[in-house]
Amino acid sequence: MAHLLRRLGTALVLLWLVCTLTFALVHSAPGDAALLLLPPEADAATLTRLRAELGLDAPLAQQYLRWVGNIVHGDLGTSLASGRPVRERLREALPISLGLGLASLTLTVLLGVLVGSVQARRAGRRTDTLLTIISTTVYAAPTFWLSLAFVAAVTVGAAAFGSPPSLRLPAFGLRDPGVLDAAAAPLDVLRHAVLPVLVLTLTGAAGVARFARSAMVEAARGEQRRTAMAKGLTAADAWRRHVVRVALPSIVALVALSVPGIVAGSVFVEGVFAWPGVGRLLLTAVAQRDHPVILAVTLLYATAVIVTNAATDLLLPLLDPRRDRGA
Amino acid sequence: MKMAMPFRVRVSAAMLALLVLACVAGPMLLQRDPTSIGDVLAQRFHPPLTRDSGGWHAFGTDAFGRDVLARLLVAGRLSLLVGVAGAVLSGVTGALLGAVAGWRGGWVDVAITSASDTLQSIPRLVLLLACAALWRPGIPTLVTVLALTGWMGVARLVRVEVLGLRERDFVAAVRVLGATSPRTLLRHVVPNAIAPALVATTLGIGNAILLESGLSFLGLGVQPPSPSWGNMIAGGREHLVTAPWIALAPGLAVVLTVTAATLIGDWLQLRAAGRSDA
Repeated sequence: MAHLLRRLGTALVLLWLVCTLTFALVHSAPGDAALLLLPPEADAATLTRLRAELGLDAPLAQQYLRWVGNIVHGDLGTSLASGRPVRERLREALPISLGLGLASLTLTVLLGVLVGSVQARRAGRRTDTLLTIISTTVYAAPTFWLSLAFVAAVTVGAAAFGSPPSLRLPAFGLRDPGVLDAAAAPLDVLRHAVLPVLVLTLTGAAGVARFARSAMVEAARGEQRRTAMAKGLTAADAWRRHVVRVALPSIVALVALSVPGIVAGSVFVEGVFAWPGVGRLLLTAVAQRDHPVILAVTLLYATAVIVTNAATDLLLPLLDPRRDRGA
Repeated sequence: MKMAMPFRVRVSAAMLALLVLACVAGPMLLQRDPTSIGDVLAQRFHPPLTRDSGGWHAFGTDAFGRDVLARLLVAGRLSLLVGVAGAVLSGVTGALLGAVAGWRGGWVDVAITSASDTLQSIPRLVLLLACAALWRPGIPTLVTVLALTGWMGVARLVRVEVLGLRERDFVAAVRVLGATSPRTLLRHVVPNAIAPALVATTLGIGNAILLESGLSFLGLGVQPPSPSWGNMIAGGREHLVTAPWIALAPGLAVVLTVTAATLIGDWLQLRAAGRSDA
């Protein structure tokens, strides 16, 4: 219990530090919201008035306290570009991103652990080397470039091979404007999700395979596998129960550590495929210099990372087969 | 421990050397200006391996009639420079901060470790995007931000090494002989703690090149007309269907460079850890 509270305390302190850092970042940059909102020809009096309205004339410490207070109350401010509350925009975009993220994360872990396991069983042999080169190459490919390659393949490629239009995949967006039928709508969204999920899964799995292989090679070196074989388990069973199982906690820990990378990948994928999620919201906000939205998305992503790390820390001991079952 | 270099690491090293050589010497040999625009209508969209009044275009020409190969090599100079500078600067920053944290302990350690944990909670790309949006995009901003957002991994590694070395007899001996604290740290402790940091920095080069290409693709990194692999891909995006070679060439250049750098880095890491399953 004490451990749980201490871990949650650390997570909260970290969140506060992230808030402080983002605040400092915005206030050390040249220009402010008032300058961004007004046309360049606005006179000094208008500028002063708007600054007062936005509370930008208050001392920095006061602005900081008010900002942190607002965040605690769930008020993330107003978008400079659209004039709408940031919270509203996040509420629209978040489920769309979560759907994409969770689908690709699940597939990423399955594919990555499978490939890593195949490699580790044949460590040092030709299959292993070939898969290492493939996974390193996919890992090295810029996500946005890979996405563009897939877009080219489904547009030009599909047309060149004369595949029927019903089988062709849409390259952009979340749904077709023409699909109004309620029954066809989920299928339509699914069709739009194929390419983004595919790109995220491939790049993610390449990373997971790299460290899953390493963790399993390490675990296979332990004595438990030999003992299991001596007891009469088949090689496949010994591998599954005494190598994959032993390597699992470190694989889970490393998947949790790769969450920031998955977020980064999804920003590019959402950008290229026009997937209207949080990543695309961030890219639009960056292009429009929409500070409140940039700040809110940064905080959201940091919260996701901090919560994942805390949850992994707390749950990991339960996964470890070597833990003391009596405790 | 000495280990034979696997075949793929040798190929990677050779490829990387060739690529660097081509980027450094190539533009001088080609004698083409990668940014000048001539008779656009006559020279644009030539597919690879064609020739026109401007000579051979091994990789074709882009939407403005510029030779893709010439641009690729000049862009490579910038992309490699930004990648290496970003990774080395973050490596040096991380090594210094990690060493100081481990050596001094106390509140200095707490401050540096909290700063590192805070920065690591924000995905690096998101931090880079936020900084690029707040400040003027360009190469100095890019390198600075790459360094400021990439030092944490190295700092963590060096800190742990220094914590272990601090208690060793040779450190006590150096102190007894009268060396000052900074001198002991820099001359006797850091050299013994630097190996994992060097490996992490090597692996960071590939990552920095990828991030540079990503930011330049979004128009937040290297600004046109200066070519970089990322902004060349962005330029080829609209012509993906009619002239795929414009985006294909710089993308392949990134993939080759980062794959080679990663394979070499992985091997160095296994070698440093004394593992033979490379």
